[in-house]
Amino acid sequence: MDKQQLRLILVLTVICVAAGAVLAWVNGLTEPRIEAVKELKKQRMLQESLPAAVDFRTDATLLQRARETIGPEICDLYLGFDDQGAPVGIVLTVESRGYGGPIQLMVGVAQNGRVTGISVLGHSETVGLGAKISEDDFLKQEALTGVTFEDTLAISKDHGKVQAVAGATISSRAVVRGVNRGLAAARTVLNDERR
Amino acid sequence: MHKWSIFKNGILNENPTFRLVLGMCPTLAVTSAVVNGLGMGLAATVVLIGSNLMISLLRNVIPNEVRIPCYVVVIATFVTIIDKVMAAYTPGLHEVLGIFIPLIVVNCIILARAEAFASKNSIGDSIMDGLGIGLGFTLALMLVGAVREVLGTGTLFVAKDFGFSGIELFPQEKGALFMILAPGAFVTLGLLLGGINWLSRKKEAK
Amino acid sequence: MAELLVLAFGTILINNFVLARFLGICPFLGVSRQVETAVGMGVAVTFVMTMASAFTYWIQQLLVVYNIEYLQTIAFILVIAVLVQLVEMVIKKSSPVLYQALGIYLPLITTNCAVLGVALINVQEAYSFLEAVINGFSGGLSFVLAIVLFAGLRERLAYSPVPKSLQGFPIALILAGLLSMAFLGFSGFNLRALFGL
Repeated sequence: MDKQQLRLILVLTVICVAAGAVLAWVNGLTEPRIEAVKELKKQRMLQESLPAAVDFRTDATLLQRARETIGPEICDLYLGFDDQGAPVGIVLTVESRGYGGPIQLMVGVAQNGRVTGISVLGHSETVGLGAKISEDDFLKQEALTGVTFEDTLAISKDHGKVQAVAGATISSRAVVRGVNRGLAAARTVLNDERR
Repeated sequence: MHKWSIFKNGILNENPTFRLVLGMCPTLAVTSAVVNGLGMGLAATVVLIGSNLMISLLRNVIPNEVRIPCYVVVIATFVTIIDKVMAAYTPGLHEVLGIFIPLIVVNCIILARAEAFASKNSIGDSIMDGLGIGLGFTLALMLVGAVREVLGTGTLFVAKDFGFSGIELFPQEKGALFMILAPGAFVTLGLLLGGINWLSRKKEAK
Repeated sequence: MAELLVLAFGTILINNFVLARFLGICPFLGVSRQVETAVGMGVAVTFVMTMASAFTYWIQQLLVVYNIEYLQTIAFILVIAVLVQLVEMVIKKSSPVLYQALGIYLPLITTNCAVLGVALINVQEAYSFLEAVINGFSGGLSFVLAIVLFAGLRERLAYSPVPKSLQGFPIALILAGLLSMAFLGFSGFNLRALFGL
């Protein structure tokens, strides 16, 4: 191998190693903050779904139980407690298949069975159409918020009361299906607790 | 004076979007609102300045035969840095821009400036060139974004990450959904390019 | 099987790489003056996208194992660049005819954002190996479909009296907008119902 070729390899290697080192350093600096931002977002969403609670705890056994009775669409389960440590309700994250891909939802239910909040964590629906499922006009309607875990919801096209987003029946239906799953899971868990 | 003309060149004479017609993917994809265009443009500007600086610095070290791989590694490094920083400090914008942040790597503008300018000019000039071209790109993205945002949603400068709810010009229901969707991007950019051609032709005729 | 068909048709028609996701716009505008060259470019891109999807899948697995996902962008672009080189060398050796047809397009493909784009989308959607390859292949087909249709339109356009200021890129973009609008119609399709899911 002549000197010229050696130089080519050397320069490329040095640049690659330097790039790797710089990126490792930057990653070390930003990673904790990226994690913190994610955690903060989750906490804020939990708070919105169940405003009465100040402390949220996961529960692996209950999650397992909810998955067995309802299905694998239940992703996470949080029990909410107030500042006295008394249980105030439950929040479930549910995945539902929308038009563009999975929609992640959070459904909060109070101890007495009333829905306290529904929010969309993530989705890949069409901008301007299906994406409107994450807006208040859809999520805060009476047919979605003023219900209890005894109810089974449906959009008006399927003879229910929920007003679907115009032009986005599949997305709206997916949200309603996810909410139903979440409500059913909440019913199972909360009724179990009462016994 | 010399530096100023390099800077101005990037914004006007060699505007990457309207003159060179480069980097079309992000120009179409992330311009549904002004702030998205601004974020994308500034991210690309930082990468441009960084890569121009490094490549100008290393222009006598990098052998000609492997220059393109070296440039790509340098550019990809800066892109990853900006990706991480945005994820940490502007998470909302980071989510909206999505894969178009890592895709800055294959944005032809950046490699083109590395090859055509930074590899032949001094560090100071290369930084000015990066700044000029980057801001030219940013302004173009903001212009396309402004047209689409106003006609599509009736608002201007909505920036949820910075807690700014924008200026409402007319109610959202009156907005043309077409402008926010994919076809609106193509048509808006086409008409803007046509308009700029028309203006410069009129100027030449004088 | 039906799931994979839904993915493939969804990628080709509804989430078309060029017309809905804005990936690969540069070659879409640059190499679409004639149908023949558009087909050549499309085939080359499809080939590289499929290969890139397969290779980057394993690269991503490696990055995850060693916990160095922050090297993703660098690793992917280098793999794609090497891949394009390899493909060029193999085609040159094995089939001079194919090389004559595709050769000039291959170097352009490294900086085609559809290739890096499909690799990133595969990771983002957490596709399995098979799904990733199908997504890469159908992504390539979606590029072929878009660029060939577009080239056909542009050949017609050559005989139309276009206003001077709109000639070239402006009218091409407006035309692409109309094509994109036509494809928007596909989003009314319920593919899952179509394939009995």
